[in-house]
Amino acid sequence: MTDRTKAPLIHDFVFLPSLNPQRHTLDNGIDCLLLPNAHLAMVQMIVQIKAGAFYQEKLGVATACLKMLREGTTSLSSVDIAEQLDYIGSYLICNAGKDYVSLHIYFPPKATRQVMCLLADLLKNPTFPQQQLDIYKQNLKNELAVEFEKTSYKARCCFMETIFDQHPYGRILHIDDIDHIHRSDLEAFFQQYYHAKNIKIFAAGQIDNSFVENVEEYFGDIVGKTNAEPTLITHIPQAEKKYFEKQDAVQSSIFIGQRSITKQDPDWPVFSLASLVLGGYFGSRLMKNIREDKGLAYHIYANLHTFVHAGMFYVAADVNKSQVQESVGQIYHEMEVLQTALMSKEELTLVKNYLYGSLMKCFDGVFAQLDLLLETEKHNLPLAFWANYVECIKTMTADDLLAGAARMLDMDNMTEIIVG
Amino acid sequence: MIPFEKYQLDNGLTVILQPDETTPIVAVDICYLVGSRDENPNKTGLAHLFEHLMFGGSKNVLDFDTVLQKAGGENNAFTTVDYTNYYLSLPLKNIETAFYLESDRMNELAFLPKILDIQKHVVIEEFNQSYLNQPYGDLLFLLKDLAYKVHPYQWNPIGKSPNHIKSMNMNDVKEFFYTFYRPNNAVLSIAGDIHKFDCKDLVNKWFGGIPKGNVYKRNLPVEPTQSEARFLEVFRNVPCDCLCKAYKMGKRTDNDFISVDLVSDILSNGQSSRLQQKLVKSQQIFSSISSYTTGTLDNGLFIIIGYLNNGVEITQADNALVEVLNELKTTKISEYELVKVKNKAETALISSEFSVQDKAMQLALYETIRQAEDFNLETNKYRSVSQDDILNICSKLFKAEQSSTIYYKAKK
Repeated sequence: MTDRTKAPLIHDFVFLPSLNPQRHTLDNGIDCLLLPNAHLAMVQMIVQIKAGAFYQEKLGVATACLKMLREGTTSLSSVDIAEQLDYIGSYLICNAGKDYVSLHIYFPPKATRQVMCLLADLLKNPTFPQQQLDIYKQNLKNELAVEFEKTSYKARCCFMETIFDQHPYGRILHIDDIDHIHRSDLEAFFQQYYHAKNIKIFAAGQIDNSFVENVEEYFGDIVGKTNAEPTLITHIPQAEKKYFEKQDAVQSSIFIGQRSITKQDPDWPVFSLASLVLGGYFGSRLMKNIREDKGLAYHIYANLHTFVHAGMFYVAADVNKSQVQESVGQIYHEMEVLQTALMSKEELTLVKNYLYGSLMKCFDGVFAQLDLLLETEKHNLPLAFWANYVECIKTMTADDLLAGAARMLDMDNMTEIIVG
Repeated sequence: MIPFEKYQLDNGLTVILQPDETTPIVAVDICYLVGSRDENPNKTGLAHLFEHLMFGGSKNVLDFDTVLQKAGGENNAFTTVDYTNYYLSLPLKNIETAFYLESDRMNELAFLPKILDIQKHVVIEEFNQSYLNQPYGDLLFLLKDLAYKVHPYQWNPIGKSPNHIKSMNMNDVKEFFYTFYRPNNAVLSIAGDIHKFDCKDLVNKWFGGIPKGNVYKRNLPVEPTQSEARFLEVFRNVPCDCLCKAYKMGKRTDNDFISVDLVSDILSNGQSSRLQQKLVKSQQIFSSISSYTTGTLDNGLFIIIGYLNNGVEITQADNALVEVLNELKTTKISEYELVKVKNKAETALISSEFSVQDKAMQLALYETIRQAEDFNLETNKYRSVSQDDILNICSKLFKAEQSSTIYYKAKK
């Protein structure tokens, strides 16, 4: 009989992540980073363009420009493009972020040439057809109308508008803005930002030597020019507390936090660990307190979200309307504890192990690694960043965390948004 | 194609081993053949509430998550109408901790009243967050209730109402556990570099001694054949009208399921799909529309949900949708279109083989549904569907008298 009272020994482990993509730079400056694995019957390819919302002057233009790429080129109509993409069995996702936009496609290896030919056409010869733009705008209005009905979406938007204010990260698209998006805006934005110096290509899976040749053939003639980076707005607005009543809401969405650092900042490792302890995993303090001990919410989390030029730290949850005050009180309480009470050795070991384990999971195959590689390149970090991060976490003490939490959380300047 | 080995312990636990030496982590998946269809109609939501309780302590493990996280792992679970699936992954070195944790909660839960009380609150907030506080959040509740008159698919896994969850007591929980959470009602699936360990010995050490349960004889009410179209109109505080239609379909294990699944791809998988091209792009009736199958172990539903553009009459939208479906009943699809949806289906299938977690889960689910071997036959099944199969299945599927339609309208 197995003695169930005796738990197996938990083996200590440290995982040193090592990213080693093949790198090729085309003559026009396009960097190409590859993670080949010949055993996979699939290719994932990502064309990343530094043309996110950060660079737009008018709201909605960066996203619309990206989404319209697949709606028509000088030689292919919207339907042609859709048919080709589907026929080869591919899935194309257009991701629009604050800093970068990307065309993310996965497909069977035999379709490699066709996919490149098609993607290159989208990137070189888009026509932004007016009719397709009108449909896009109409559908976007409906989509946003539904999103803004959600207390959590409204709270997130309001939070970002408040902490970033006039900074491009704080400019959020509302329904009324959509009418102001014109075809000429997209053309101008495309001209200015969709060029070789702003493009990076990533791929993983079944890739052979001809892959790079194909990239050269199809993407090598995209012109490279440089554009000036927009001036950074460094002004940090005053923290605010805002409450929006929504009569028919059953729950209220809470967002509490402030501006924070980027991944380039030497404090990022300690802040990330502090954020993890507070609300970054299932066993976090906020989950234990708010969910597992008090049953106030289904989910509560803390997040240190880093864009390229700034970051934000926040705690978010959806709670019963009658328990907002109690929940908010507990959130501040946990923030204070993080700054004032030394963490137990046990909790420190646990959270470090959890973190090593999550990083290890990023190495479960090349597709998982691709996500980490993308994140690394997005923030202009060296490939050794994650190994250095682990070294840094390894030596971090409870005292370091206490001091880090004090730097991370400015308790007198917390923005608090409640919708519901 | 996933190579694997399958065997059974004396207590009836089915074990699947999937070797993969390319990954530093190992995935462990346990699927119990119990879902919301096994609930008492007056106490719905128990299967899902129970899933929460599985993390609330077992006889020898006070805190499942803490031990797992200390070992560098993470986990989660989900409950469907048919089964409940628990999945975790952790560094290979600590695989025994995973077995210890999973086997202890299969052996015997702690059944702590405080945990039951708190998780009832948590689940009610989940009910609120995922359904009641979302625009269109009650749509699927209305639909299931309209489409099923006697079968327990009438309610969703979250339950009929928060009141049912409030009413659960410890006796309900214990009875549920000893009826369904027995090794002979479960599949254990492991993927990773398992040849580095005596995996079978470890499985036997931790799971072998768990007592077998009685064989559960499912005796669910059979949904009578629907003979006339059903209709419901509701008004809600939402930004735009929504049209929802469901047709009765067969079981996940029926031979023609693959054809039905391809029909849903023809209609809405990808930008070139019919609903997208005809109703969103050309006629501009919907701002978005999609179709899917519930793919359940008992007879399921083929569901279509579309959100209307402002100014479009919902009856006009309904007619336009039915016209697209009728075309599939009367005109054979082209060879080209069939190859297209098969190619997309194949890509989607291959994509479920990349992470160890996905592999372990796919095999566990396929074994629960019928047999794990089916996973590796799936691509060929899709390939063998003919143009005539699609025509035939559409005539069988899209019958007005087998439909349930909801006009979910915005309050003006």
